[in-house]
Amino acid sequence: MTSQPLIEISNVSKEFRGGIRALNNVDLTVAKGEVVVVLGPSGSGKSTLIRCVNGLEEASSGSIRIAGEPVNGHSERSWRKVRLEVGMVFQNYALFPHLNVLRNITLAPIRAGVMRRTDAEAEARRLLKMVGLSEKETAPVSSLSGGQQQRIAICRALAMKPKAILFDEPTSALDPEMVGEVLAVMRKLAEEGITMICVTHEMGFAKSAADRIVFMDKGEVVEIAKPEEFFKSPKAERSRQFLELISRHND
Amino acid sequence: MNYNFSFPYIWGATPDLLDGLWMTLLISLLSIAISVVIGVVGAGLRVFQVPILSQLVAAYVNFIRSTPLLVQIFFIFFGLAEFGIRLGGFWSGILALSLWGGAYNTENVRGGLSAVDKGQREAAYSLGLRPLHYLRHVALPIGLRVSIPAMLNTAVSVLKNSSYLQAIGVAELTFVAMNRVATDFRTLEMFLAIGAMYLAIVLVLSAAVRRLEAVLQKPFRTA
Repeated sequence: MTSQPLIEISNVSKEFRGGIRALNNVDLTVAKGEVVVVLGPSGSGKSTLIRCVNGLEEASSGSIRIAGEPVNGHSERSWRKVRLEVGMVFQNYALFPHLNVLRNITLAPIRAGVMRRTDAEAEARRLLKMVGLSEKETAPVSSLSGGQQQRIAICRALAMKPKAILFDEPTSALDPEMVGEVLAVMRKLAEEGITMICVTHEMGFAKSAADRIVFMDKGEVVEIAKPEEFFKSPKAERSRQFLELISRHND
Repeated sequence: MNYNFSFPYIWGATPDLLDGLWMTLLISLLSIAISVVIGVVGAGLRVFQVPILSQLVAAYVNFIRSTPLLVQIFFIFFGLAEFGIRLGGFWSGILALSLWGGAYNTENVRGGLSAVDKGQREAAYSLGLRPLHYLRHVALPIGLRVSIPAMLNTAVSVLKNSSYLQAIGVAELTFVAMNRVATDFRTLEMFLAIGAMYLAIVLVLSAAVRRLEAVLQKPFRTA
């Protein structure tokens, strides 16, 4: 891991219409190659935070920089530039239902002008092999299980060769027996040194794959720590309560 | 009732009627095609809330839906002539029917597009696709499937409403029949004959669209 910052979130707040404050002066810097796992109770602003990073939500104030470039320029064009560099994986996969597996992966690289069709297809096949779904190339996505769909969605994001990938609760909609196959792919990516911000409730993944844990509550970053520190001796009271609640739930 | 229904009369009138049928088909198919284009463009402008244009489209749809088609036809044929725009019956008819069908198709396509899950848009945008690429490669392929039954309805209406064009002297099917009736008074024969012809082309049109729908459904099928 280098210490060169890839994503710099400083003093970001987000207020939704109706005055609900989802983020409150959030600061977070993610280094190139770093894996950051964001934990916290539901409604703590975790998803809103990463959605602000690629402009699916617009921060109300503060600044976000990616590779040094400020991204909250508020124009659709500047957002598009960001999105070409930051991939996103959604809780509900959001694959394109009218396209088969290969077309799902190649649509964006071809249309966004990143690759020619032949290159995009070769890249898609390489990615499918990596996630163990080579034989599904021509399958319609509706024929796949949730775990398979999410692995395809990860391929789709990777095909754009992003500098970083944001994961928004990627295993929360999955049946328990399928969580493992998706986490395995994410671990592989983490080992390959892809920069990741991952919102999840998978504590095992957080412990083993994260370089740092960010704990959020009520729209604020409460604690940032290495996983071994966070899980053994959390500094903040709210972190402690959260971990207690989870361990009780797991007993 | 002592009406002497005459099949031979229909037989004798058939060449005339076929000329009218041809005109009806030509005008209808052109108008349906243009109305689909208007619908897609109009719905796109509405869905992306393009400033000014979106409001203009809304006003256009409202106007068309709240005024009788016959009035619209007269407006285009007689009204525009007052401004020196003389399109003639054929092109006035196509313009009127296209605008009429286009308004309904704008709503039909908009309905289909709004049925597309908002996650699809987020996924497309998060991949760096431009709005127009999202529309063309994601939203329309998904949304149009939803719109097709409503668009078929509109297409059938356009075809049937082409009979209004007899009022501005377009030699389509109804006009031909009216002409015949005016000279020979064979009302039952003529209206029965053209009724059957309208029925036949509507059935063919419906079958064609069902075929199209089946083809479009394919990628959705599970293997």
